[in-house]
Amino acid sequence: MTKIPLAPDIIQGLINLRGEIVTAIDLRRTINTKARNSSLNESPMNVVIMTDEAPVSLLVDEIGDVVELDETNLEDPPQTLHPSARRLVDQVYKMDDRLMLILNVSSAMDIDGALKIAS
Amino acid sequence: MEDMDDDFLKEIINELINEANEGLDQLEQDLLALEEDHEDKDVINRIFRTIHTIKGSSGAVGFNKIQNLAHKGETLLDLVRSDVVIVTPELISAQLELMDALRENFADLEANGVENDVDYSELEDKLHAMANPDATPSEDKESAESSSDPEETPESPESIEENEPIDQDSTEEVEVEDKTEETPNVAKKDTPPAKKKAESAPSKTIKESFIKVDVKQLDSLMNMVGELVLARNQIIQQSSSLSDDSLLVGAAQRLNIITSDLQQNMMKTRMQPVESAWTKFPRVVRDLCRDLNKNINLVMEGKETELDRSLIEAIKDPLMHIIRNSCDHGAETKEERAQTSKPDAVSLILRAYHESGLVVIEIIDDGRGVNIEKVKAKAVRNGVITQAQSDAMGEREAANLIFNPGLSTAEQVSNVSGRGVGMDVVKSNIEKIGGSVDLQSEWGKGTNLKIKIPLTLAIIPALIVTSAGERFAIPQMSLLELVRLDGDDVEKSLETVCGTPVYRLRGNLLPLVYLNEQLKLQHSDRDEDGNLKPVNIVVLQAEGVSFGLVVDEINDSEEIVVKPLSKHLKDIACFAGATIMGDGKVALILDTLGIAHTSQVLVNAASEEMLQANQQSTTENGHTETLLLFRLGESSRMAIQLSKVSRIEEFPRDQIQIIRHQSVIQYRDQILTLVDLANYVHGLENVYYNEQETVQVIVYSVGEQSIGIIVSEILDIVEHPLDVGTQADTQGIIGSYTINDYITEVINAEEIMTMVDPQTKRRLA
Repeated sequence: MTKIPLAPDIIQGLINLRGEIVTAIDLRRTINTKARNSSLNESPMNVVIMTDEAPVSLLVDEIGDVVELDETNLEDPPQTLHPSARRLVDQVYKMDDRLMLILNVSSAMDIDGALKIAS
Repeated sequence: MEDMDDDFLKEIINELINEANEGLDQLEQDLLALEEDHEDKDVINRIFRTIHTIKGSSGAVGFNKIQNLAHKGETLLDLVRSDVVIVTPELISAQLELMDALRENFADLEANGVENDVDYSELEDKLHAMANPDATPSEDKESAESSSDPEETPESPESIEENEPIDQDSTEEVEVEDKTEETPNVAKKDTPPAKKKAESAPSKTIKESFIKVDVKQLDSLMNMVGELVLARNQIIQQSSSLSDDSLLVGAAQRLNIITSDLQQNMMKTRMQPVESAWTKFPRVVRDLCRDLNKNINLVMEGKETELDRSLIEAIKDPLMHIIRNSCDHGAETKEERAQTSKPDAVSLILRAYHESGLVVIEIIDDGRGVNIEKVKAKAVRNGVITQAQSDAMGEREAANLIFNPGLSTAEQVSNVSGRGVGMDVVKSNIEKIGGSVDLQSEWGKGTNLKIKIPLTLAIIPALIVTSAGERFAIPQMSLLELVRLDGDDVEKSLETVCGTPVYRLRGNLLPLVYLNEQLKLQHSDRDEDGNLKPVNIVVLQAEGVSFGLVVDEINDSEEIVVKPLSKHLKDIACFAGATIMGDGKVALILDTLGIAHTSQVLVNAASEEMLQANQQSTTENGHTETLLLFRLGESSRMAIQLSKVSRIEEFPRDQIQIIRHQSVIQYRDQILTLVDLANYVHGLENVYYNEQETVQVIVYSVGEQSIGIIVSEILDIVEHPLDVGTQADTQGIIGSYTINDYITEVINAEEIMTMVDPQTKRRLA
């Protein structure tokens, strides 16, 4: 990964994905959790998303599973959700043992929006 | 049509729009050609055919409005074709208007998928009236017109007959006609049908040897060729290190040659004749001629000169600007022209050609030229150059001052036709694509503007450098030279002026910019043992100002494939793009112009020169400020720190309005408060500008907030220390100093701003 000087922290760098230059966005930063500890060998995974313009990579800690969702178990997030979380959570999926949040991909990639919330 | 597949229909409509737009471009040129030569039958026929095709294909997809509009024009053109109606400027104008209407319609069609609901009945009536001069008088008129050209007379009645069905708007008839005339053929009235077919044959074969390709397809091919170039570079590197395998070396060499050929041919397919950027100009010149009462003869040479399509797009607007400028300022009016010994028509030549790997575009007019003295005077008045610099300046250098942003004012930019104007924008747009602009002009004789641009942007030669362990690419076109300082030289040759590092390059001071600092990377000028590291200076040029970029290491020169940065990173001025290096890693491409701006090299260039001139006094007095001197009222000499000045403007007095006892003016879509200093600072003279035509204003901005300080006259720019002098305790004044033998008071712009608008204080805090 090539670091980009002067870029906001959220943007981790540029990667070469089969000849295309992909901007990598740190999902930890967008959801405002603490930064990844690089010394602990926590190398992130790239989830590359095609957008209208160019592909963007979201850096995540771990890839879990591919699951099929049952629409009846989807619900809108509660109104009481904090605004900074609201923009990132599209819907909530009720699993048997826990809840799973459906990420709003376009606002996860919206750097300006994220910076505004952060400040 | 309902049962037609939706996508299929969309495709047909897109095709139709593309074809129509191409047709309309052609039509515009042909109409202008027809205006030149009324008798050119080929042109008349071509015009007729084009509009006929537009009518036919729009009708076939059910766009009746477009069909009807085109039909009105076609009817009139048919009469022209058969010499019933003669070509007049009004007729051409009406046809051009019709084209605009059609263009508008197709644009709306593209945007919304439906025809627009604009009412064109006025235009339709106009066209109809021209096609149907009143029944009885027109008969006389027509025969009179025809008799002026006796050869054609017998044809007239025949053609009128032929046109009757069209006039009745009988669609069926029109459809039938569509079919017979579908062949792109010079359908002369007396040509038998058999011959028509024969004639159409060759044009068909030409059509078959061309195919239309989506631009996206070309772009992606270009990308892939770029990848191939990179892969080739890697293989060549590897094969030379394993040179004992002769088979591999041979194959690598072949791969090398083939890739280069492929790259070149790929470039060629992206090439377009420069003509496509020029199509609008004849129309623009014609319209300007009418509006400005001028007679301009536009000649276009070297239309077929080819350059990359991305560049064609990039030069369109700057060229339009220059052409408009030439017509507006360069060309004299008919009356003025008559008083000179020059030919009646102003000649405006647009010429393109290849020269040593570059495309050169010249715009030459024999109009009144640039008044060098006037430009110089304005440059001095606006503080762009000093009087001394102005005196020493050569003609060519002075003429190029018009590209300086300090010489075009906001009031002028808003004007449509442009008045001297925005030439700085033209220059920066051309430089953005790696080009250069040069202007030569002789007062009274004319102007020659020369633009040089590279053939392509996709693959450029670049210098690879390293700073703080990261690689960066610097486009070769802004590179002047490389300097390396070793050992003792490092300490000896690097000097500072007021803390700004400089290097003496052959006697001239070169401002130094540390890349590590600019990019906020880790930086140390000593190695692990505590010795001074060697200094590598890349001497770069941006907008005529050279500066030295200090990097850790200079690696190599390479051909790189330029890739744009994503929108998240567009705001960082220091980078022009990114590229993939031979080892597969991404490297950022530095933007020379951007670095020059962020490092203040360009902003301070003017004062930098001043700094050099006044260096003697600078070193003696310690900290100095660059001050803009101005006169207030009859005799007060005042000054403001140049760093606080956003712009110097001259407004016409009648544009100033008084709102709630406050003078204001419309400025760049905002309301600018004009400040008479005497109202805020005790003991200052009022500026009485009621007698003057224009008012000089110094604009000072903090963030979004701006105020305009009214002054009587801008005097000069000087370097002066602000710590030697009387500090004032009057609010709004920093202190008074003796500058050039006069007592001069320096104003405190921030304090004045807070006095004018108390809210700013809060905002500043």
